[in-house]
Amino acid sequence: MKKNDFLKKIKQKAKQNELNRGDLRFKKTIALLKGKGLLDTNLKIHPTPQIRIDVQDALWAGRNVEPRILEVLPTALLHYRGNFLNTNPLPVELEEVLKALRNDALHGPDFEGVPFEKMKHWANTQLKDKRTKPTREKKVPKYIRLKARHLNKIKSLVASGKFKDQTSVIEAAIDKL
Amino acid sequence: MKDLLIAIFKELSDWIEAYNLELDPDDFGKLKPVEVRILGQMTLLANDVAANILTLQRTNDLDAVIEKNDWNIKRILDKEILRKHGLELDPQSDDIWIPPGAKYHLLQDFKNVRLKLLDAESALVSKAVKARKKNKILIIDALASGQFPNLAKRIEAHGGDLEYFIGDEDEKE
Repeated sequence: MKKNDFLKKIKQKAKQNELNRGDLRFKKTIALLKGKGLLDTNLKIHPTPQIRIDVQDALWAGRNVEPRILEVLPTALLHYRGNFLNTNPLPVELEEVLKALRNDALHGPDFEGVPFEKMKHWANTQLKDKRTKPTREKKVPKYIRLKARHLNKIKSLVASGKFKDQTSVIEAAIDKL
Repeated sequence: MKDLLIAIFKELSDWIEAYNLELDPDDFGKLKPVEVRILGQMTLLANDVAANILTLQRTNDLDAVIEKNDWNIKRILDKEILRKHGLELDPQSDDIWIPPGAKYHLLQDFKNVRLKLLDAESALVSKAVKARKKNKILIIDALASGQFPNLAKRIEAHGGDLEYFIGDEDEKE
């Protein structure tokens, strides 16, 4: 292709990029992700952590304007589901990713070219609000049966004040393994 | 972004100084000054020209190579200083491909940290050749801006495909 033709085409593409960046879907998505501390931009967009956006708008923005949105979108959906509209149902591929992230799976499906490991990384990062726990830190209920002497030992350790609850005793024992 | 980087690495320089002050003057364990090279989105955001003409988004990871690296310095930088600023060091920073001919501009020379930025054009070449899908929009804007005169030539010279950036097809990487 001739240099001039190439330049003409690349300028057309850049023009479209410019239009896409002005799209409300992109601006709202960035306002939310910036507000939640998941993404930053040199555009003048006010961080708005309370905004509610359509999940399809976020997907559009990730596909057409900034692929990094797709990298952090699963984390946003996991921790701030209430900020998203039309999440029922989510696209099947995205739901699969969320399922694997919730389970802290070692491997999981990629999403729109973003490797699972990358999405998992952000899901396990301490978030700006400090209140939201990384996925890895979240507790899941588990029913276990113990011998009475083990249970008594756990109770006495809690009673001694060394541990705040029975779960902490078991976690400390596992961490020592 | 420049101010943030300067604040972060001033803190690191001060930490190294404080650490060394606790040791005897002839202690072998004294930490030596380090050179830090900022790569990736951060170098673009800290570059006046690039940040002015390109729209840049970033996640919270910092791509930085620390020369004469001491694990203790890396640990303090990542686990304490960057964390305080809501950032983290990308553990794969050392693997980022830097095209031949790249230049590093001195941003700040502290007592214990020499802070340098990879030149914007080389950062763009690296992205266009090694991570073109994630950076397609950015590279299109950079090429169209005309502000990086050797960008197209360097992308092609290092195996990049310019046609990809004007095409509509996308692929998994």
